[in-house]
Amino acid sequence: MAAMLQVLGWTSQGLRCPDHEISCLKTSGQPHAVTLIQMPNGTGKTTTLTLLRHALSGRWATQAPTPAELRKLAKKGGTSSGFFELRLMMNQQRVTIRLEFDFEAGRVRYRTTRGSGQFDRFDPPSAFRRFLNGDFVDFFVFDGELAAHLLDERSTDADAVVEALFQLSTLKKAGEKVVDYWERHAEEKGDERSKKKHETKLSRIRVRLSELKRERRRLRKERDDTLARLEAQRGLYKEEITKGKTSEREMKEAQEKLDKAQNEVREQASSVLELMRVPYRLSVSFAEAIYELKRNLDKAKLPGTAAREFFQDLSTEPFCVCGTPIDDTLRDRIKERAVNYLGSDEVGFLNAMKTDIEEAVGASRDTPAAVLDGEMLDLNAKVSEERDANNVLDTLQAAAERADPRVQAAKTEIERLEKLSTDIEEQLDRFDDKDTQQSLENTWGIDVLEKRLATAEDKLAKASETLELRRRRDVVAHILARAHRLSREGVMTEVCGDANTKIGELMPDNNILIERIDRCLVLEGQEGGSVGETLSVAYAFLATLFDRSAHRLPFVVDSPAGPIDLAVRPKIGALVPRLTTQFIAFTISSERAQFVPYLKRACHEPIQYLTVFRRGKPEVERQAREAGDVLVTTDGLRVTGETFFNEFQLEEEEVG
Amino acid sequence: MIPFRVRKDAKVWFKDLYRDKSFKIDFDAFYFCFIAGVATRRKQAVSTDDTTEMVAYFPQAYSASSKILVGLFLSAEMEKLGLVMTERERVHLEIAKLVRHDSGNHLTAEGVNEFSRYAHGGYDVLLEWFDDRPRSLETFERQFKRKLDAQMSGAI
Repeated sequence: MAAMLQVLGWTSQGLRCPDHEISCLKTSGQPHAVTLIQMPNGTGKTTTLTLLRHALSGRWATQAPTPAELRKLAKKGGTSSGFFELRLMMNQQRVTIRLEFDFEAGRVRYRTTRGSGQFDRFDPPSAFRRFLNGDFVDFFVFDGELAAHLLDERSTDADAVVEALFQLSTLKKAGEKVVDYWERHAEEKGDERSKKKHETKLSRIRVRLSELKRERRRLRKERDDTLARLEAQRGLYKEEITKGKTSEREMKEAQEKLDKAQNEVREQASSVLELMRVPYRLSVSFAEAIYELKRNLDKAKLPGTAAREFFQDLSTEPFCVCGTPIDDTLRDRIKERAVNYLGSDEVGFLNAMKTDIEEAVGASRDTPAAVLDGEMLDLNAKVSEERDANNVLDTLQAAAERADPRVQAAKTEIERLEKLSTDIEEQLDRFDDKDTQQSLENTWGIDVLEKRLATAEDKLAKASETLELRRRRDVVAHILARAHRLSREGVMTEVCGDANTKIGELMPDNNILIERIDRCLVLEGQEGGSVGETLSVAYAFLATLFDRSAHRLPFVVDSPAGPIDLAVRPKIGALVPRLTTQFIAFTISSERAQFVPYLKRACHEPIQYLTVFRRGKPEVERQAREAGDVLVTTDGLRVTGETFFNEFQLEEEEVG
Repeated sequence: MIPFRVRKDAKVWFKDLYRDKSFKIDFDAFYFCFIAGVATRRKQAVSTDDTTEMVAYFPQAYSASSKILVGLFLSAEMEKLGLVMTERERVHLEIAKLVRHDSGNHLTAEGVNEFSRYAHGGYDVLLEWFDDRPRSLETFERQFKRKLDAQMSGAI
């Protein structure tokens, strides 16, 4: 069933942002298509976005916030408690999710109200659970960082979002149901003792396999986290080292030289790979071997001019070309021997192959290999230069580490993380082990266990006389797995194609395209673009994704136009109303230019304009009161209206 | 059309080159295994369960050399069978078993299987040529070329 989720509004009290209440509803009771909430920097945009994310994802229900996270949410000056209440509509059902903070006890509690029931936990309707989790919520409640995250496989799982939105996992679940059915059937049949034995074995293998897969998932995640920390630590190390006594210029030069040498090695290695893909360049012996083949074929006049079809035709004639009558014995003999001749197409292929060989190595067998040899020498020289550059930098770094304990500490941490990462990789390698001779407890290869599982299932099927049913199960499971793969590939290809069309419309002069979706978005021929470019790519991707799916989810965005060039903003403004049925954005005053007018023009109904800011600026407060619709709380004001929104100039609150 | 098959353990062995995107397609691993196999005339039959299906044609990066690769394969096969070209009928017969013009890879089902067997055997050769799996493209290329040259000059 298609899901429709709408944000009706929220109330925040006792938290870092000013106490405020936002209603996204029109007088008709339906949500505005677009609500713009202008909040100067320092008013608590990030806090509000965090609260929205956690209310929607239930993340704190499974993973309690750290004391530092909680401290960031408490109102300055201190309150012992606070709450954030989010009002939603989920397919015609009103649902309220309330986060209650107890800062003294360092605790946060969820309450969910839906229908007539109230639950002391995060408990949204089951139809929405696949959207209301940490990974998914980040795709519809996001800030400028999402764009960068979409291009980083460690940060996002675009695959998972596509799977959930297009319900591709239904095919997987259907496969599991088929397996369950077979198991239940197998249980009901066959000799009890023999069956029990096979069932126990099957169950042990399944448990082991499931444990290993879980462990592999955990280790992969740990590896990804470690690599992210390692990257951050390397950044810190560089920062520390530039603060030290060693000349910053010297260090920078050494680093640049190493980067340059590494790039040159990488480029040269790619060129060498291109050459190595041609066998006669790899070795003179290969060139000689294929040339010898061609020469021998020529000498023996192979392939002959007579093809199989000639003899097949001849066998139907009454006389041979020499005039000899062809009787049945001779006819059979001609037919029998005709198969020893190549068909005319195969003759054509062999002649084409000989031509290719002649063109490649006819003039010289040595020259092509000499080209690769030359490039290999160049590669060796470049590797040597890289090693030298590395040594120079190592020496400088070692000196800096000796001189400054903070640099030394950062280096030690890098080494620890590198070792940890290598250890994890080694542990992960165990899952690829192919050893089939070990006991179950000592078998780590997941492929090996999957094979054992198939054999055990086979034996159980025989014991319970359900072999035929199991074969059918395998056929159905295979079809479902194939359907899942094909659907996924089809959806991904179409999403990429449509997103690229949108990117072309948004940025006709920038040559950026999505090549494929492989956990993250992989851009064609480049690692990434500017923040504005990647945010535009993200919008185009999300617009396509949500446009093509039957589900309707709101978009809540912090700084929708912030990092985007003024030239591209009008296009983003025009695209936004097409992204979704409900768009809520947090903005600052400098974002209005070249964005809001175009958004307004493209929106099919009036936009709701809200401005939220802290109390304490009498002149701005007076203007707000004059503007009319003002809601005043203990520490904040919320003003409704387009005129005040457009005239408001406060870019940043004074951080108190 | 019968697809080529690559050993699963060979793909794992090359995983660092795939991770840093030096290798982008399964055929890259398959190709270097094939070259090592054909250079040493080492063939190995490996069960379907231990291999992964790949494409049934020579991917773009290899398409320009596709007939040369088939030529190299035929040359190795002819030598392995001890065939001399004067045995025209036998040569015709053997080539007909292996070559088929209308398949994407120019090979019959038997041709694809024999071709893949060189790659399967070649992976064992790589394990002998390298102490550890390759961690970077440049390391792999330099060691592979050194070992291939030594093999061809009869030094190994």
